[in-house]
Amino acid sequence: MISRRFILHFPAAVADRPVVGRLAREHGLDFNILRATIDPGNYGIMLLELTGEREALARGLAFLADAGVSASQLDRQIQRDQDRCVDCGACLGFCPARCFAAEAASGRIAFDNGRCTACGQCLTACPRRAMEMAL
Amino acid sequence: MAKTLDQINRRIAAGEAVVLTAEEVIGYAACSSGAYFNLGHSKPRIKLGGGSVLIGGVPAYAGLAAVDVFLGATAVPPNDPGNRLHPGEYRYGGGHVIEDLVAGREVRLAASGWGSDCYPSRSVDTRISLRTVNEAVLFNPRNCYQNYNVAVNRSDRVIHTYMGVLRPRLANATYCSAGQLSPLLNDPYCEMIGVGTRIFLGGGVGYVAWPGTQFDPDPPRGANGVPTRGAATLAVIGDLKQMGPRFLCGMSFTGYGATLAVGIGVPIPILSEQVLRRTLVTDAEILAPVVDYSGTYPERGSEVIAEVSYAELRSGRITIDGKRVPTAPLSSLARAREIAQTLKEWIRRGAFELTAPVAGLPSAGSGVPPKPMSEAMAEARP
Repeated sequence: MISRRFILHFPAAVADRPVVGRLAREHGLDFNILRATIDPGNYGIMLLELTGEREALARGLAFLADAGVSASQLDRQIQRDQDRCVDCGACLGFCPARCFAAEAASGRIAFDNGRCTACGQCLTACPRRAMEMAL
Repeated sequence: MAKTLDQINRRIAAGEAVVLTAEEVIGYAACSSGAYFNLGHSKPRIKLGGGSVLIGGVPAYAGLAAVDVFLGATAVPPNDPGNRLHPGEYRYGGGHVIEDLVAGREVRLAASGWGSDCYPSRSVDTRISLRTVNEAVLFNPRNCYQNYNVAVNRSDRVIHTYMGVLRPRLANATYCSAGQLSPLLNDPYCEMIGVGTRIFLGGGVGYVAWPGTQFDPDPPRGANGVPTRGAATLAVIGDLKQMGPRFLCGMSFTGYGATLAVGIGVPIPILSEQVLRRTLVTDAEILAPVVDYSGTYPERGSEVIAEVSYAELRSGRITIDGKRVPTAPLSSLARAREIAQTLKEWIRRGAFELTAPVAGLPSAGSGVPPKPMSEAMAEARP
């Protein structure tokens, strides 16, 4: 059983189809919609967590591709530019997913984007502008 | 124990000095910082005084002479949208220009004056770097606050401050003093640190130039003499050409503005048991005031919600109004330790001699507390 987070892009032509429902019914995946928006042009973006067997996940992703929905794994969506970060800690206590933690020994601020939901709040909280989001 | 600075410096020269690192800090400068430059004379000459100067697109103050300019850390480009596009991002300001310069990068100089018989040129547009300018001097009117507020937000909306983004209903708290690592909290009455004290500044050597602005020699103090409010401050100066981007970092506070984080380390010579005792102060013994930045701070009120220790702040949670509130520092502990190690190494290999102050900072009871702006001026606002 594994859990992964994805950013899904729905072209206008697919935005009204029950894609996520079929992921659950036909591929046995548990899903958790973390965020979803549809813009005025009917283009949809969804932040989705999928949980299931590794093979089921692979089949689900193939199904999404066939349906015309692009899915990119999320842990590569928010990155920290290590050269810009000065370990000031302004991000601490700010991240709802608690991706940041102070390391007691070194005083450095660890960033674990495995739990990241790409909410983007760290981008405004970071005074070094060291956090970057690629969507 | 050595009794005089001379004895300490002789021991340093002989490689026998004991250097401890507890007295250094990376100053966090939402304080007051900037740098001045002599740009050299163009041919034909130009007088920039009274004219306008952009360095890296950021306005610098030119009202000094012909080619001396002062660049403030919080200045932003004239075309920056500011908070008109709320909350503003402030990605590039004077602090970022200073960081670019100490990183060895060239920046654009675009300037104009009105022309005179002795300074006939009316505009220049060129590139400058720390290699092309004559003097480049970091001069910060206020750094190194001895203690400071813990910021919280009691209102129902997000607020954007120089203490970071504060979530509504006490959802987070920020603080900026390094507590037991902060130089002036290790010398609560400013007896060892004064005008002329040689310091680590921005990666190079600098000096305490003067008491910092807003210096308050008579704050409330704990039983240990340590101020429990913002109190003493330092004005510092040093050769920008020696400094580096690791310890001079441009900062962007969303919805507030741009500034510069400045790495500062102050050596404290242990000349007596009393001095030693004061440097051994711990986070648990230093209290900071919790202030509401949604009302009390902007309205210059005096309410302090609570006093909390730096040990509590460092633990990651404090309790305010019965609510557990996550805390965030804003002042880099990792860089502070790096500064401490660097300065310790400089001292141990005899590259950095300790100095006695040539003049003291205002002492307790000297009667120079900071004053607010006159009420007549404050009430004249629309």
